[in-house]
Amino acid sequence: MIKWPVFLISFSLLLFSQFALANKNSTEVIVVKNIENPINSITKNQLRNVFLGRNTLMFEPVIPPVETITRIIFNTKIIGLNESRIQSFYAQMRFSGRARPPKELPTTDALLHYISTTPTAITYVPQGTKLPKNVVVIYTIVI
Amino acid sequence: MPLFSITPQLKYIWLIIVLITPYKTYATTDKFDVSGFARLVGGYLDESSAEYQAYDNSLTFSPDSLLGIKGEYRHNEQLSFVAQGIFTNSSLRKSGFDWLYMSYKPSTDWQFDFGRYRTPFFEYSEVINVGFAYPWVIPPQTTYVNALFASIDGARATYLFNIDKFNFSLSAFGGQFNSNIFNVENSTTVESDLLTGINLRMNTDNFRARISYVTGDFEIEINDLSELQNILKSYNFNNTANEIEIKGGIDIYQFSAAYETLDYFALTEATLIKGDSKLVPNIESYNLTLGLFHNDFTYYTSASKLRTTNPEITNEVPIGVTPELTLLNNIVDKLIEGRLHEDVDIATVGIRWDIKSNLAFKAEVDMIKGKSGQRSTFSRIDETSFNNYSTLYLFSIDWLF
Repeated sequence: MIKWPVFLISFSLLLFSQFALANKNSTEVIVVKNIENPINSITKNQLRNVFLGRNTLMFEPVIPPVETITRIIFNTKIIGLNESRIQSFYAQMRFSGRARPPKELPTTDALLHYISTTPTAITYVPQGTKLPKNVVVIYTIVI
Repeated sequence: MPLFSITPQLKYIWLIIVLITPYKTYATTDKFDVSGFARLVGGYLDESSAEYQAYDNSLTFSPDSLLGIKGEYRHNEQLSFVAQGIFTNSSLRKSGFDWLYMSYKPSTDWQFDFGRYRTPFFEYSEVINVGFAYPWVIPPQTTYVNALFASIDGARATYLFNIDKFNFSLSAFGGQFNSNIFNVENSTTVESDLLTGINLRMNTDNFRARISYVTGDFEIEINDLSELQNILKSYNFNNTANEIEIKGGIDIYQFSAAYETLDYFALTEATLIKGDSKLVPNIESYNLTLGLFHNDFTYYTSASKLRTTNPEITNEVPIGVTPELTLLNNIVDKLIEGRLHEDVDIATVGIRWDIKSNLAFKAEVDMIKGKSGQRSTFSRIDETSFNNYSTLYLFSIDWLF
């Protein structure tokens, strides 16, 4: 007979693994832009430059809040720096007048609304997010 | 001497920060944007017979603590106006606007700034007051103690371009400086006719580098020196009189490189300052910092060095001819001997803890080894009892808002 504590632990582990799997599936990230922007492809290196303020392309980056899972993935996979280093870099850019850090918006809906109303804007959201009609994917981050 | 010193002005500055931050960490609209930075830096030197950059053997907060505010008005996508200033009680820097300029950005790859801006001599010169922007409590003093001119009035142009995977930022600037150099002992008026410079930044993947050249003419006003020159000229010792002039051209060269990953980083910087005046030494500095990132912590260690070489000055004044000339010879000799000798080696270990995305705590230990008979970047030494070695303990709280 299975004892309750063992059952509870097993059940919790099962739930956790299912949650982790679901979470993994929902954390793949797509980079999106307004359909009116004529640039239809972008490299990883160009994306890095756009989001670090070294932008020679016609893009205005907007980002989700700190500790959002998509932001962590984007920082790790595209920027290649951790959040504190990026914040240091942004401080250097901001207070030397060389560039402005990306605008931060609180939710995925707010990000998508901004993209759909700003032809030059670019951001990243979880894969599977329902996109407005005039917002298209320009890059997919494969985990 | 008190073991703990924090001035009333600093208390006032920190009270303002505490009052501001609960309301908003960042105030912005489409047109107007206000942001800022603050740092509280404490330091203790384990040596009673010396002072290092205004730190002595009591816990001192004033030399590097400050509050900075930036206001930006965006007229449109191309045109903006920026004012940025610091408030401090430090003897090493002056409160006031160090940035006050109009920025015109006609395209994504060009930017023109007109007005006052911090002189971009070295990698961190422009953000020396923004502690959050670099890993150390204070950037390597072997390099940054030499950043004489804080801000200049003029213009700069920046051009961004890409070649294959390499991203470049080329910046040229020109301007005039006419203000006071601050150090812990006094302030000296420096005039610069025109300071011009060019710097190139390169980024690719995890690697970045910067190379810079700045040149200009300068003149430092020291009344006693002018009187001595006049006396030398009256005796026809024109060569010596000319050689002790503190004016002429100055050339400043800089190179820095960094490699950063998610787990570790390496930074290095080398600088060379060469002047026409024989009273001013040629100054070389090098530093290397290695660091590890682990969660919210950065552990780092640095080695840095400063070397000064003084050109030869001929003392034409003979001794033994008359008492006046012998005295004059001694005065010139004293002046030659008294030129800056700043050779120093510094080893640093430190830790940075990013508590929040806008708040960091740092602590570091600087082991400073000077040379016998030299000042070695110490602001005060008691030559009879100082053994040219001391340890500086520093900590800071750095805040962005």
